[in-house]
Amino acid sequence: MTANTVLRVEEAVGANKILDPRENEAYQLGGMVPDVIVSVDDEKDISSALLVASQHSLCVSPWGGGTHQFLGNTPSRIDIILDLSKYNRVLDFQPADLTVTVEAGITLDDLKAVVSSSDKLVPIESPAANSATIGGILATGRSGPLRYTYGLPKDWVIGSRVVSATGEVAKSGGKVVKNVTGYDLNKLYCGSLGTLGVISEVTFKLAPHHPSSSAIIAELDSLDKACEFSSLLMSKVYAPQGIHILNNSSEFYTKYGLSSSESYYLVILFCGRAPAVLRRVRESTNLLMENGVVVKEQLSDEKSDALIEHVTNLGSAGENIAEWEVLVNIMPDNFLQVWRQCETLSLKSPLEFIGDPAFGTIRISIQDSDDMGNAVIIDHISQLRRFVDDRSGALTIWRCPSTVKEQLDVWGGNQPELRVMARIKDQFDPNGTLNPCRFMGRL
Amino acid sequence: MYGNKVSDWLNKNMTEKSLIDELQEVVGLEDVISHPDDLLVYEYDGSVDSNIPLAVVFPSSVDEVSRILKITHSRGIPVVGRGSGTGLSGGAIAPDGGIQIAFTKMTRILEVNVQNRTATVEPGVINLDLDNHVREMGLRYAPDPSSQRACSIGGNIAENAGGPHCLAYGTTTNHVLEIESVLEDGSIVKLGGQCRDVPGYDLRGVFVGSEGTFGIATKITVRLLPLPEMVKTFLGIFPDIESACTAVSSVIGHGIVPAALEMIDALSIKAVQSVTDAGFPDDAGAVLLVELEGLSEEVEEVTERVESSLWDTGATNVLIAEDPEDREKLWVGRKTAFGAFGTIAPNYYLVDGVVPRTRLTQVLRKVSEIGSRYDITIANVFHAGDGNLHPCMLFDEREPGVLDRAMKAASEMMEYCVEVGGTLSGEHGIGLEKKEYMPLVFNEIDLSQMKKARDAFAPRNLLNPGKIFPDGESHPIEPHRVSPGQYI
Repeated sequence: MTANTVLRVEEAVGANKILDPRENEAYQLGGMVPDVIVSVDDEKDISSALLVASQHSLCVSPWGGGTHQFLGNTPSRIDIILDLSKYNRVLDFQPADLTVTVEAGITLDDLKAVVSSSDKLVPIESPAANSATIGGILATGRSGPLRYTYGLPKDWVIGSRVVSATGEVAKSGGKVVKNVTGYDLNKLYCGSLGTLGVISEVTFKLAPHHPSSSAIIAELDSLDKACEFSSLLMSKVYAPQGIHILNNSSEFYTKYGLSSSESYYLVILFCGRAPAVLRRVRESTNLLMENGVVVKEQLSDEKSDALIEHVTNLGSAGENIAEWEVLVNIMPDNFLQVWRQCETLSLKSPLEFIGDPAFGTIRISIQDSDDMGNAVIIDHISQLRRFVDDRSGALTIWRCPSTVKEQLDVWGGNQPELRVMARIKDQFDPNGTLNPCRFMGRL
Repeated sequence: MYGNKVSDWLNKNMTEKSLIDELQEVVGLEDVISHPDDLLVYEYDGSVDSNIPLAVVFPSSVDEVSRILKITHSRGIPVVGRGSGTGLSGGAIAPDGGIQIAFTKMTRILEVNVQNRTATVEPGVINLDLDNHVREMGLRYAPDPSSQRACSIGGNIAENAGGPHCLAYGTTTNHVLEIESVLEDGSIVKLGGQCRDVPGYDLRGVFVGSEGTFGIATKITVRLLPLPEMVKTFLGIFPDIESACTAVSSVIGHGIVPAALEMIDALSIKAVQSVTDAGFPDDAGAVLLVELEGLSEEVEEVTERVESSLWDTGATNVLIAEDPEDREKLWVGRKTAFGAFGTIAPNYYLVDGVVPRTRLTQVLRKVSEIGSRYDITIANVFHAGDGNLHPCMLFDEREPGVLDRAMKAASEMMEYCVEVGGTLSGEHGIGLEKKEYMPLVFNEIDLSQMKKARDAFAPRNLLNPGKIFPDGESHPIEPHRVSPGQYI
């Protein structure tokens, strides 16, 4: 099978696009080593590989920077990996129109560098931004600390070219910032983890660059107070652009010289025009200090941007990657109650928390588990998921030991709309060519 | 295809009578209309097309909508939802042999959650009613189509409605969290969620703007935004439309994305001033409305840049309105423009093309050239900030051949928008009106992918069939009569 697969793919894309088989090990998914890796540098490569895969019942998984391949269920089978990291050109940058079109393999950092040269901004953040690709970020739907203000990555996509499961290239949207011509299939592809098509090209709308940014780190002695001040700040006309509550985050504590006590830290982010940022910081600081809150740090511009990057990467990239990463989505008015419930998880290692109370997410990082620990964690997470589900939220396990994926559904979700999702998958990929079984409902 | 006659209805057989009976069993005798005289009101929306539905049903609950769709599904009868009927592309026009579900009885604002900044509403809630309701709580619903006094949230979802302030805040899709929808077989699903991010395929995202072909929305949770501390509106007066277009590029080029950036040309200014004093000089070549919102510090800082952009690009005067009454007066001129066109000609046909904003001057020049060539008067009032043109062709349908010339001119304009990198519709939708133009933008593969999404939601294609996708059949276009208070 392996030899046949390699030959067929070689014939379709050309031998020069096939990576040395000794590299295949590095692309394993859930313990499965693919037969062949195609290094894509042209849309035709994606198209040809998918055509041959669909003709011969082979299974394909797209691969960007490989930074989030841990996400999702273990695929039922993988034969071909399409590595898009060399498919990374900027195709059309129109600063005056506030649009940019890129190939999906460009990294977030490279895209940001290109547009910032003309004082423009792609308001997207992702862990490992120097290797995470645009296609991968959109496929996973990962968002960052400024999500409250700027929304999700998909909100900035205005057009795309996507290669279907049978190798046909289809366009959706366009290059204009306002468009109701046809269905917005971009929304469907974003967050679908490469199970409906392979994102080839993306057009983003852009924002003007922030002339100024700033951040405050404040210390609170209880979760209740942290939530109370978050709500208070967000209700003000001078509200920040993002606010986060951190607890037990040793890497963050070390970096910013904070005590690893029982404290909860508010990371308050501001960006925009300088006079507005100045006022937001001044009034927020005053409000906190008048109420006896200790402001530990105030950071400006580069240091503030570095803080955003640090918070984005915590537990997800760099040297201290957590073994487990759990994401809870919840409505803001349930935030405190759900966080409290998260804290009742009784594990041998401390849990690290980052919460975004205004947007409604809690990210929990868990370290140092062992086989015995995994069983306990699974049990606790299942309980927590029920608690979250009962409050119209969702709990997704972003990262966990691969062996665990046999024992629990990383997506959760028993919603009635799974039936519609299954029909979507059936329409777009009836033969299960793309990342089979990896998505919610084992789609 | 669209244009069945009352006589057809009179020939309907007993099967249809029992359909009416079944529908009446669901909603009661009073809430189904099927007499041809009563149905005439539901023949139109705000577009150029018309078709008489078999019946119009007025449900009061999701349960009733579900039961209605189970009946139509079992009989293979097509269905279209209808909000206020203000749509401009024929989205709410009944399919042949189909019924309309009208939402005039589902108009409740069910909940406003101030902490979560969300509102949950029934589909018949009027856009402006929701906005006014939440403003009392310091919040607002940002999408503001020009028809917001009349259009419904359900219709806004179907069309992914825009509006002047979508420049800064995005269109309807950016403000919808969860949709309860009834599918063609009567099943009820929830798309999206109350949280801002939910895992799974984004069924909510692809549903918004699907023009009623995926499902019938019965309950919608939307995001609300806090009211800004300061709002300031500028009126830039220009000698010609080219210099006003240059001003648009200059403002955006300064790194400013205003809350709104609207253009009104000379002909429209004259029409507006003939019906109301909006403060527009009669001899202006174009005016540009620029609205800034935010913290007072940022509005004040940007004020200087906006003013200098307007002056530097040739404005002959710049007026600034800060208090609500003065700002409203400037906006009245924008919002009454289309109604005022009735003073120029009795009929209009409107194009909704959108182009990269830096192509505005070039495209408007072409629009003018096309108008001259076809001897059609054209007025322009449009969302300049996001490149969304609204060339409005004004004519008297009694003039022989004029309608044909207007249609050919519209066709050339749409083709040109696509040629310079734009597309067919910025905010009005495709519907019946523009479906035959879809191949200008999308090839068969693109369209087949879209149909796959539709088939996943509505495998039998019973919801609003005959819209969006070209079928090669031309449909009769009737000119629309300008009515007082018309808004676009």
